[in-house]
Amino acid sequence: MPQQKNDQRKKGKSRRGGRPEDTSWIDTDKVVNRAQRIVSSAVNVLEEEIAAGILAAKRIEKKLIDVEEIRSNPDDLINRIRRDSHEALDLYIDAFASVSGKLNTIIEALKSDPAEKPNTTGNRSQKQKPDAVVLEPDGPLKPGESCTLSLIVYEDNVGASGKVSLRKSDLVGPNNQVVSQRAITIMPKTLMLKGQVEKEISINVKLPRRVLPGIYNALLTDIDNPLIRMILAIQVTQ
Amino acid sequence: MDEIQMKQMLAGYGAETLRGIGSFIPNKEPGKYLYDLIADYPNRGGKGFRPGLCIATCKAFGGTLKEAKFTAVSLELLHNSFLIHDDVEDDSFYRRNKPTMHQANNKAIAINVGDAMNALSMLPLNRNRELLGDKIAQQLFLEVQHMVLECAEGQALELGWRKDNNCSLVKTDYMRMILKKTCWYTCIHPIRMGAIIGSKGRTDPEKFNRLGYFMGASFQIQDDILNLVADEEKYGKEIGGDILEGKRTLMLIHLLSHCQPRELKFIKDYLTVPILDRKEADAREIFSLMGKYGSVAYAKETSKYLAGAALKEFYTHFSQVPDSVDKAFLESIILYMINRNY
Repeated sequence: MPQQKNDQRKKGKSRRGGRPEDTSWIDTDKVVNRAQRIVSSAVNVLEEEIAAGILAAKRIEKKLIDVEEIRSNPDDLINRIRRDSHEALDLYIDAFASVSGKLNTIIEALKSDPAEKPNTTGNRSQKQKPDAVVLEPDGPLKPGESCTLSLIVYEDNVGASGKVSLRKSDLVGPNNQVVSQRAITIMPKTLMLKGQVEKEISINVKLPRRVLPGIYNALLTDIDNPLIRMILAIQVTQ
Repeated sequence: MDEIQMKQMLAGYGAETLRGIGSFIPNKEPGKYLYDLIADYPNRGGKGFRPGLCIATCKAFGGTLKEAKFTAVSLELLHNSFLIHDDVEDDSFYRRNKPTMHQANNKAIAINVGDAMNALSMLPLNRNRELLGDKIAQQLFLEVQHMVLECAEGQALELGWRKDNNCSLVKTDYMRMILKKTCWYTCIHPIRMGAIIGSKGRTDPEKFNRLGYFMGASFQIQDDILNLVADEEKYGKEIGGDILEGKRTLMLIHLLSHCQPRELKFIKDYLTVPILDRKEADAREIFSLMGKYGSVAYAKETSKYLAGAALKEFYTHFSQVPDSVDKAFLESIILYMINRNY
């Protein structure tokens, strides 16, 4: 196979007398834009494939475990979610309704004066309220580290469909330390949910390098359905 | 670190891995049609890129060559088994300047040797339990499981495109295919596994996905370019073989989307002809069209941008890793990709 002729892009001519090559013809912005387009297109492919892989793994896991048994008990479901939150977090829309009440309690407790904080030692009425949905990685993160949590959403009703668009807040930590919401990336930002079809939302948290140790919480809510709420909890250690 | 030093280190890690492979090949019958053939491809002098990445990353993260060696052996055995099967699937004639396994023997024997190498690759992974403990060994096992499955998926995509003579592919299709077919097993997993071993499981391997992907994609595109423009003896395979095989390279995909309808019909007709019946003159014409439409230049540019992105990822994730020869080695591999001339 013959050698290809000169690269068409090499238009710069070297000059005599050791002068530097004239590179003024290069449109830097154009080159940077082209590079950005190529790299970001590659990144999208990678992110899609990773999300698809997690979803496929969870589907296999679902086949291997008795999902209905776990679903039948909201407490067990939440415990399982907590145990299993290392990479992929199984969270179904049918669980949202049962846990959102508890989440309200937690949020109200966070807002209120500590003196008015409800008794958390656990009484019967407290226990009857559903648990809060807390998304958290397997273990604490160090400054500069990142983690990805996967949220699998599922619409039980065959004919139903809907849109899920998660909104995020800043991560608020000790002494009102704030990690900007820019540290949280939700992919995809919006997804259409059809009946009995699982979809996955990937939540990536990239901590700044100078974040102080402590527990940071952010609130994730669905723009169109404020009853769907979650707390994203990240523990930072040095 | 300069290019010569980098290649010497790569060769050193490759030789170490080759010795390890030898110790896992059973000394028993059937020799002539199985065990003697297992060492054939590894002994042909491959670059040892995957073991090199794994060992160097492990050492950069504080581990030792000994700790990474079983994993490196497993990676290299799997890589060579993929090559044997790949050559059968592609009807290739040469591999590293020698007839492919199925050309030197036959397809049935070649497939069987590949299967045996797959099975043998499990042994060193199992030995990781004693060397690194159950938890890390299990993590590495799952890394390999994912790696092999992704590779098979990528190969399925490409073989399916060829079977259906798919001529409407776009760049993202290609990027997805090489992510699956090449990047996971050539770069992403070797780096991830090296980091897991070296850090004793304390490093999150996910953070190396982009680095490995950009490196692997750049590497694959460069390999595809070399298939068109390299010196045959140095390259070790037939030049232009990818065009003859109808391989959906970035250059071919670029050409298909930029050429005139008449030229598109010519290429489509060419790709419908069975591989062994394709004419070299037609392959030359397609190569010439790639030049006319700047497809090779486009692929070179894409490869350099991806290598640049890999370098940025490397600095992001290795900046906190103490300086070492192995860290410099990894950096120099990426710099080599950026500065590579054809």
